Amino acid sequence: MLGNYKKILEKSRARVQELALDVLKASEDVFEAFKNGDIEKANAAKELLKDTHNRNNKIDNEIIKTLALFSPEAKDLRVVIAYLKITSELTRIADYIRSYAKSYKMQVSGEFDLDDLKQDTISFQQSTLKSLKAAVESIKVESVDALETLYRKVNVEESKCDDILSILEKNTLGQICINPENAGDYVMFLQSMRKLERVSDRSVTIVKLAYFAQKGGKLKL
Amino acid sequence: MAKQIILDIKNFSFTYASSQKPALKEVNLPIYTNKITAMIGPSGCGKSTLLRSLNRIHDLYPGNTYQGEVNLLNSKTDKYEDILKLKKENDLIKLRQRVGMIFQKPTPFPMSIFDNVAYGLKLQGIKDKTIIEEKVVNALKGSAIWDEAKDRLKESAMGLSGGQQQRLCIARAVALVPEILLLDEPTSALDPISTGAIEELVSELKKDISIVIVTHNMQQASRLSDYTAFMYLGEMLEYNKTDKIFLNPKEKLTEDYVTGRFG
Repeated sequence: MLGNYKKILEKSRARVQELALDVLKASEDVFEAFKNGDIEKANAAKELLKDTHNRNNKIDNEIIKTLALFSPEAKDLRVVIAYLKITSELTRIADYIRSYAKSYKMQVSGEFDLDDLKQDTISFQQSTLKSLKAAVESIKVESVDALETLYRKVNVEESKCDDILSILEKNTLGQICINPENAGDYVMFLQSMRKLERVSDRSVTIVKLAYFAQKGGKLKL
Repeated sequence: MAKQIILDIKNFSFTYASSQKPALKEVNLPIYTNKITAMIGPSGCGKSTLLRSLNRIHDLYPGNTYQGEVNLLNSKTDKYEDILKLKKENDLIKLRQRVGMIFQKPTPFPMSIFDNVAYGLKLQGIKDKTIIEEKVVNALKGSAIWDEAKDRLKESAMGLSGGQQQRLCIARAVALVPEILLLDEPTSALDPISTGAIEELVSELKKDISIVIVTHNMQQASRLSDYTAFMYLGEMLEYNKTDKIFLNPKEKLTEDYVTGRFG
């Protein structure tokens, strides 16, 4: 492997990992904001992710350049393609987190009561966070065995998210029946939860991509 | 640090003795210090002709004509000297020491590995055996062939593999501490492993030497060079940073060539 190719690849990997860590940090902040009613944390999360699309473009352009100049093959090619797609997944996750941070602010400033839904919401957020952590870890892992472990972990958390969301939907509908005057707010709350549920879906995709990069085979996302 | 032009080719035309038409027409090309410049283009476009003009190797055959300027930076005076104005044989020999050349097929001399590298040093007038030995060892190390050659320095260079012979030729050129190294399809006769070793070596050498490489291998040009010049029918059609040439070429012909649609 040529020295300058190695450098460019390491640079791309560092950028992807940096983006992943920021997305993770923002998620932790926004969930903590919900748990403790700390609106500053929600603002910090939004701030951390405000440049995500530019960072995505930068990584994409670097990868296009790598493909054009170095024509990578086999594992090198899989790794580069995985970086390209993982960046896109991370950017989507960042969008969901930003959107959630915004809706959280609306929930805080609104007058409707989320207390009955809070525990399930926190459980939902914890599983979302665990799935995202597994995804972020998978980006730097090279061992296929370790990736298989992360894949099982992320799948479990994603299933948990699905289940908790179903419970939340049912409970939210119950709340709407009790407080029909706040139906609009509850619907918005549900919408934000559904968006958040996609974080775990995309986390699964990231681990699959990391696995594809190391192990090979065909992409099945 | 601002990039500096080490060799400035201006309105350069070249006509072979046997031809009426020029093989190169009004070529303009800057060669930057400590950068790798690749010259690409279909067969017969004039890449090798241009490369060989840069150390006046065409002068080994009489009757060729040059026009324009090829200005080589003199690092001591910081002034450019037009190498086309050199007339004396001695000046041309000195020029070829400053602007070394590696050919497509490895050209080791039929002598020992050590003597291959020492030969040019002796021609330079160095007589002290200790200095020669030191320079030979450094050149072999710098050309990534020391590990393979250190135990057989007195053996014939002809016993080396093709890739090793090519690295030996590079060591021979490097020993003379050239300012520019011209590489004319240096890996086209080599296997992929040897090609990789030469490419790695070339990208290391650019720290000390400015490099111009002619290649038919698009991937080699793209992964190795900082600048790329695309030539077509004796003209310099497009010159730019390598990533621009391979990602967003301005000329349709360049795009067609780098994508393999013609050539």
